[in-house]
This record gives sequence, structure tokens and C-alpha cells, in this order.
Amino acid sequence: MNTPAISELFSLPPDVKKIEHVDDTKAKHAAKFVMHLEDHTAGNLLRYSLLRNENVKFSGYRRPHPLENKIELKVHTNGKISPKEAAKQACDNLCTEFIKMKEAFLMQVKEFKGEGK
Amino acid sequence: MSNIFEESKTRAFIKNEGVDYNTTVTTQELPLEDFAENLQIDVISLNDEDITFDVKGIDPAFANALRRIFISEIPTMAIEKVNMWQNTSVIPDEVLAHRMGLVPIKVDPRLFEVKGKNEDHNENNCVQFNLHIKCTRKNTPEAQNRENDILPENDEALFNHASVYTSDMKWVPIGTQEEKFKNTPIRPVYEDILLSKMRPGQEIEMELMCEKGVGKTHAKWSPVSTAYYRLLPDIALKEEISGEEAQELKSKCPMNVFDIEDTGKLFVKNSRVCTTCRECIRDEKFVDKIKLAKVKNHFEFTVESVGMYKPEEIVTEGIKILKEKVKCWKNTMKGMEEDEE
Ligand code: SF4
Repeated sequence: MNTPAISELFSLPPDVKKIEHVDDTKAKHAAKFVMHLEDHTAGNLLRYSLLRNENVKFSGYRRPHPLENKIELKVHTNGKISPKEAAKQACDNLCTEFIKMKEAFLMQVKEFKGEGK
Repeated sequence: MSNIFEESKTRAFIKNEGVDYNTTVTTQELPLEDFAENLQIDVISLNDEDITFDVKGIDPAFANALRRIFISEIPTMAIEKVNMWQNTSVIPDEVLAHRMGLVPIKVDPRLFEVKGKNEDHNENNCVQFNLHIKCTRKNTPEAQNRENDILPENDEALFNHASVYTSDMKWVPIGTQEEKFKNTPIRPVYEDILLSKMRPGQEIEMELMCEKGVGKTHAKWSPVSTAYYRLLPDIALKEEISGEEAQELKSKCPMNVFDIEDTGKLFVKNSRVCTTCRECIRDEKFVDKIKLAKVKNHFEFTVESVGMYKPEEIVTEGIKILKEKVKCWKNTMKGMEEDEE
């Protein structure tokens, strides 16, 4: 009865932004990102990537409700860069890593197939 | 003591009860430049159905994101709409329709688009199959004698189409599809999936419309039957074991991880096959003699394809989709800045 419609998994209502940026009022250099249509895949990945940045003091995520298709990502930096900057760097890093991983994987598959023959 | 601490950075220790996994020190000190150096991929086995490969130098979040994508976000084609004109078989309409949905379809999903909410089915978002089949009595004396009907084992011999298989589904090309898929005709992945059983006079007639979708909406769209990873076991002997004890330990392990040298000394032959059953450390006397651990950043992935994609394609598609996602976040964040200015 309360199951959300399947279309809610893929599209947002027109007045909602994909990522909302909320400044933290209690701490300096801290922000919360509300990411719509994302789940633990995104949350955990970003949290991890952010933590690898030495300028990030804290990062964590939560999924407020299992029926709501969104996550909240909190980032706290040391002030040298803004939380948003940190998040962008995290995305960049991940992107590079995926490219490298795909290359490495394709190479190994090719090698494996070559050996088989 | 410090030794154990150093080791706990890279290893999780398996104890008789539970696991010692120290999360405070993980691979999080890994700078980006080191990623390519540390990343190491090895294909262990690969055939038409599944692939096993090692990924070394990534962290759990990364591995888990990949696994989640494999299962739920790689698009495939599956039967979504069923127009049922006739169904007098034993299976109720809705159950049969659901059953049809689960039939894997062999077609490259990358050539299709997701059907929009208000769109009609067309050659770019839909694959159509027809299934029209009627069970009749064969024209043999045995078949005509109704007394033979009592035993169900006779069905195949007495009737035509007593069993309905996926091979009875006929692909109906829409528009230019016939030309486009000339070399790779669209068909169910397996031709011998039993869909229903029928008796004389019963009939099934339906149109099956396949649409593109992803596994998080319904598992029928998931391209993998299983996708999992585990950490590579690392087993070592802390002290020399020989003689009777060696024999005892060797026979204890159900996976034959240990073997005995000619000199009677025990050694670890193949630690990869260990299933972490803990049988070897159950006896008090061996607890301190064996180091049973897992390498924290060494993942062994196993991906088993349902058949729509080749197993290695699932991995590359998965990575591609993740990359696209990350790019999209980045662009949105960039966009946010421009809004503020
Ligand atoms: S945990 Fe089980 S499989 Fe692994 S080495 Fe010990 S007895 Fe063998």
C-alpha cells in the first residue's frame, strides 16, 4: 500500500534538484548534501573517497528512510577547501579510478583469453 | 604487540568466535597516485557463464558498490507486458504472465531505449514474441484410446505439445528489427525452459512485449544470477607442526588446505580454497599454532551471468555505469555553483 511507485526510482518531481546543498549552521566548514535517487552504493562510495582526502575531517552518510529514495552525505573539512570542493575532488578521483580499473580489467581478460588458446 | 597492530592494518583475523576486523586502520591512507600501482586485477577463471577475478588494492566501499551495480543497475530486456488472448492451461493467467517475465531473453540491451511513460511500443524500445500453442491428441491408436490418458508419464507420447517450452516463443520483428538483428536473431537464452503443461484441447495464445529495465525495479532484469565477493584467505603456520599432529590437522581440513612434506612437516598447500569453516582451530591445541586471516584489500569476485551478457561484459558495463553516475554527480555540483553565482 505504501510502496512508492516505480517511477519514483528514476525520476524526480520537477521542483526538486538532484543534489541539494545545505550548510551546517553549527559547525564551520561543514555541509550536508542531500542526494536524491541514490542509495548505499553512492553514499558509501563517496564517504570513502572523501575520507581519503587529507583536508576532510569527517564524512559520513545515512539513508533517512528506506522508502525515501535519497541519502544525506555530511562533509566536514579543515577549512583549506570547501566541502563542495572536497566532494568534487572525490568524484574526480573515483572517475579516474574507474577508468584505470576498467583498463586493467580488460587487459587481464585479454591476457587470460590469449593464454587459453 | 606492535607486530600484531601492524598486521591488523592489512589482515582480518579469524577467531573461533567471530572475526577481528580492525576498522580504525584501513587502506584509507591510499593516495590517488598510488591507486594504479596498487590496483592489481587477475582473472582466475572465465567461461561463457561465469567469471572469477581477483581485485587487489581497493577498499570495501569500492568493491561493494561494484557488486551492487552488477546486481541491480545494469539494464537488460525482459518481458514486461503480456497480452493474453487465450489460456486454458492449468496455470492461472497472472501466474503464467509472471512466469513469462522471468524468461531471460538473448538480445543486446544496449541497442534499445527505456520505454517512456507515455510512449508506445516501437522498434527502439520493445521486442515482441508471440506464443500460440494448442495441445492435440496424436493420430495413433494408443493416443485415441482414452484409457491410456490416466498416467501422466504418457503425455508426451500421446499428445502434441503436452509441454510448452521457451522454444515455442516466436520472435516477431517490429519495423527494421528484422534487418538489424539479421545475424543475431532474438530468442530466449535457453530454449528448454518448461513454461506449462497442457492436455488435449487446451490452448495458450499470447503476445509478449519485452522492455528495457534494471534489477532494482524487478529481479527479472538483473543480468547476474549471483555476484559476490569474498576476501582472500591468508593461512600460515605460526610454529612447526609435524608427526601425528600434522596428520591430524591435514585430515581435519575439509578443503585440503594443508599437506605434509616428505620430511613429515606440515605446510600450507593452497590457502585460496579455504572456506573459513574454522574446523582447524576448533581444537584448543591448534588455536595458537595457526594464523587464520583474510587479506583486507584483496577481493575475489565471482560473477555468474544469466546469459544476456557475457560475464566479462557485466563487469565492464558495471564500471561504466558507476563512472557515469559519478560524472553526473560532479556535473550537478558544478551546476549548483553556477546557480549560486
Ligand atoms: S578454516 Fe576450514 S577450510 Fe580453512 S584451513 Fe581451516 S579447516 Fe581448512
